[in-house]
Amino acid sequence: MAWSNEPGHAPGALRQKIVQQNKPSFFPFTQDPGNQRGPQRGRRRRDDGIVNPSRRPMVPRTAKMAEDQDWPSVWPTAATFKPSAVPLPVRMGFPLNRGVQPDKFGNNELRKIPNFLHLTPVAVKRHCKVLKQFCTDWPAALETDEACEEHFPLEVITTDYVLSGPSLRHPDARIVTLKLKLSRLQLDEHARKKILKLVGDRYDKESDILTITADRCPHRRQNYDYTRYLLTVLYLEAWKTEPWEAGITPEDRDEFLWEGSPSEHNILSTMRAIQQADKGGSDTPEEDIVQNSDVQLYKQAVVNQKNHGESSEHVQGYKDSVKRLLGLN
Amino acid sequence: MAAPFQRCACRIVFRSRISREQRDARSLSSSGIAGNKSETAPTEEKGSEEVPLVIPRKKKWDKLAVLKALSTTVKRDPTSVDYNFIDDPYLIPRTTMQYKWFSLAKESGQKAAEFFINKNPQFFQQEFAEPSIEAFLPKTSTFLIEEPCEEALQERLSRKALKAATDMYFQIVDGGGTVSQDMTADLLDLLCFHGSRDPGQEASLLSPEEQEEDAEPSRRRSNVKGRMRRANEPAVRRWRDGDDADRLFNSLAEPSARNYCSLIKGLAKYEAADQAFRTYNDMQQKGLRADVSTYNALIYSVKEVRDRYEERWDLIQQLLNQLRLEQIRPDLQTFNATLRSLRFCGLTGRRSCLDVLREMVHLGIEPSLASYTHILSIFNPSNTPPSDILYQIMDEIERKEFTIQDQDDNRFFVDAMNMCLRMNDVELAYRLHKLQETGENWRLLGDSYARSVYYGKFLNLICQMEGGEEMWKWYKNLVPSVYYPNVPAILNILRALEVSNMHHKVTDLWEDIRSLQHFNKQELVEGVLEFMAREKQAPEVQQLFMPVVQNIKDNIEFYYKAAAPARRATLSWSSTSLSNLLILYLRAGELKKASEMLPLFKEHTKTPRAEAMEEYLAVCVEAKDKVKAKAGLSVAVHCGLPKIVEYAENLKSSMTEIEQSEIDAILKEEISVGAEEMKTNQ
Repeated sequence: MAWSNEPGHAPGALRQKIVQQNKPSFFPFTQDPGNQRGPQRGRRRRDDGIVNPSRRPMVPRTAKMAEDQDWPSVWPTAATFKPSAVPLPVRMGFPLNRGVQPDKFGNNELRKIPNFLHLTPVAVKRHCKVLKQFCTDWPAALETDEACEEHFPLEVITTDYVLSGPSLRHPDARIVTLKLKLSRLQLDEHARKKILKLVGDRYDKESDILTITADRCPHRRQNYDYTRYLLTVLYLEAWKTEPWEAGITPEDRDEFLWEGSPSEHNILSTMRAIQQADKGGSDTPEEDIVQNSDVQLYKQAVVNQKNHGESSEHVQGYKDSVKRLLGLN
Repeated sequence: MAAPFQRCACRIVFRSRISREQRDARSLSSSGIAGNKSETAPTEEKGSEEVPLVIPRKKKWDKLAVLKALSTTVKRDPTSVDYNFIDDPYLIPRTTMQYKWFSLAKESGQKAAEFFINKNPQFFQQEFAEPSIEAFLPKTSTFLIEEPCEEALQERLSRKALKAATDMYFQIVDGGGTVSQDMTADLLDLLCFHGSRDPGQEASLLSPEEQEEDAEPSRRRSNVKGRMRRANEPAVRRWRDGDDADRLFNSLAEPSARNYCSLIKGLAKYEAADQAFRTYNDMQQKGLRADVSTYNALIYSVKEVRDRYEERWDLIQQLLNQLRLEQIRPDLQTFNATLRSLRFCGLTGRRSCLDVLREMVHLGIEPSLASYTHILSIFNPSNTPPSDILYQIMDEIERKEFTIQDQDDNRFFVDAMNMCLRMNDVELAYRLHKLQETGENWRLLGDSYARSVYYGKFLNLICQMEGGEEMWKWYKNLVPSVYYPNVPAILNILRALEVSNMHHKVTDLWEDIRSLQHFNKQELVEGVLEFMAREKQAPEVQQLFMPVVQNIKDNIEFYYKAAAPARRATLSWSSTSLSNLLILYLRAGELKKASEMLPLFKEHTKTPRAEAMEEYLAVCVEAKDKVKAKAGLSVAVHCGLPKIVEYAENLKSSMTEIEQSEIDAILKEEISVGAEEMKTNQ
């Protein structure tokens, strides 16, 4: 390390070198200061005269850091990037003039981005170690996710926001989401259908999860209470049977019902006719015909086609079942 | 509205699961959350798994516990400075003076902002903080309740507007109203505590007329040894008769015991001890009983009212006996006040100190650091050889954690370190430093001045008693993070380095000297040069010196060329420094630079040391450099060194390149020039 009294700053030694290399130009006035490297742009330097030795800036403290220093003590919390405290040759930014990327000194790009210098593995390990005293043991019965779901069917999701501002509050912190597997509710066929009608798109068929989100109240606690209230009301409403529900017609239903449908009626009469033609008598009870495996297959094919839409498989299934029924294959 | 929330640093999502068995989930169980199992048995499990579900109880801790736990993972960083400075090479204080300036600058900025906010409250009505921070809001000078009544008085008291409160009180009383006894006592308490002036009032921030009113000469407090108040000690106002507190007390028809106690404490605090004792006597005559803190204040100010040691001790004993008669239990402050007064009782104090301690143990009161400070100074008056009481104290308090309990608590570490230095016991100093590092004890180290005294003495002791390696380790740890050494301290360090032959550290030390702004101290610069030049080192170490040497030379030249005479006088060439520079250049094999030094001797009329000149000529002979040898001889002759002839003979015999006549010519010429000069001078 050399300490001459020539002007310049210890921190930006490298930058200086580059700038000084640019200096010996034949047309010093045509050299555009904006064409220099990033943080250097537009800054004027007084290169002549001896600099007062007492005006020199301090050597950055990275020069004094030991190799085995305790880094979490140097950078204990989240902080904006400080070039004099980070002993790494970090570079960032757009390289101008076919140069290299600007170094860390006076580099605004490095200050803008969040850094995680306070969350080194060593620091995280230490934090975990001291925070253990605030935690309780995880219950042995809840080792797997399934066990957790089994014991705790209701899932409540809230979000906390940590801000570096004068206010601790965040409007989104009030939102509460309640999740529940619908199969965990005691519902009969009617109640299940009704609750599905009531919740609409809050139910996910794939995962069988009902999601209720509340954000209408200003406080989290109120929203939480409101989700609980909604769930209770939904459940109780689902179990009610209103008088007008008796007048339901097949057209009102969402899905095709085999029982009592014209298809069932038709297949019954067809089967009877076939039996009559075969044996001359039709004393087989209706249940037996329905329980017949071929009829069951046909029923499945019809239901599939009606409820899940026409597709080549469904049509093929329908064709096969009809052929079996008629003994054509 | 949305702007502040874009700076969200972190988003934490909580997914909590609610058990179907939880008690508070009553609404849910009624709504029929059903598992595969019956709901009656909370700890029952499926047949296959036998582990019962036991939910642990929630742990509770106070608000700061997590932060405190996290902060235990962080140790002191020896390269950084105090947290209230900005961590930037330009803004880190490098000297004690800068430390003071920078802290004061920050403080005065805050004060200025506060002043402007209070001056123009209409511009600062917007509240950004949530929850709102009371201290940041502009303080309004108007009150909600204007008409004289108790509520108005209450409002002024809660805002600590003492002047307004006193005015209101007299307004109420003059108007024929009454003020309840509690509120009167509260007002008197506040007035006595703050010495009848509004708390937090800064003289410089007052308007001119207020300042005039306030311009009574605030007596500077002189301490025991009669020295002037230090700059960081607050100026203490004295008690004045006719102040608000006095007025209020005199206006009371029938002062209660509490009123008397407040007045006595106020009098003792504001250095009116005589009056305090008089008031106490009045109180005794009226048959009122004082409380323990009043007795503490009285014991604390005993030395003001009695001059002779025995009389002081007698008075303390009387007060303590009174405590016993009135069956008041003494507390820590009572004993600390007693011990403090015993400091000023000479031998009497030394005799009685142990009795006091015994009584303290008997009552089961744990001494605080202040008690130990007092004991230390009772047993170690500055003019006697040190006693070994500190060893016993250290045995007692080692590994203990202390919190501040007394106003003198923060003097212990400085006093004890001073004792270590007086006893020259570095092991004890290490023990003391260890205690300082235990837990939160560093908080009791005192202000920045006390801290620098503490670390200065510590480092001084290490320099004297320890080897170079150990000393350098401590030096690295303390400088400049907590301690800015002064010139004598650095000279001590140089001495320690020299003793253990660690010359290669001088580059690092010079770097620190530069950053501490000591590079222009003549004494230190010469010390460093002397340190480097005293003995011949290995060639690589000599090379290591070169940047330091060059920098010193540049600095001296800078000051020599400076325009202002005052600056020129800061740092200049001396004979020793020039000789040392010459030697250093020669030893590093820089003959050319060394020869460039020669004209400086003539220019500044300095004389080189004989050894330096001999070494120079020897090197010239070795290098067979005729011109430089002649220049050297010429300087020697010019300065009139005693052994010129010897040098000339040496040159003649060992350097065949030079004509003998040339050497003779130099000798003659210089001698004749010298003779002419002599003549002209005469």
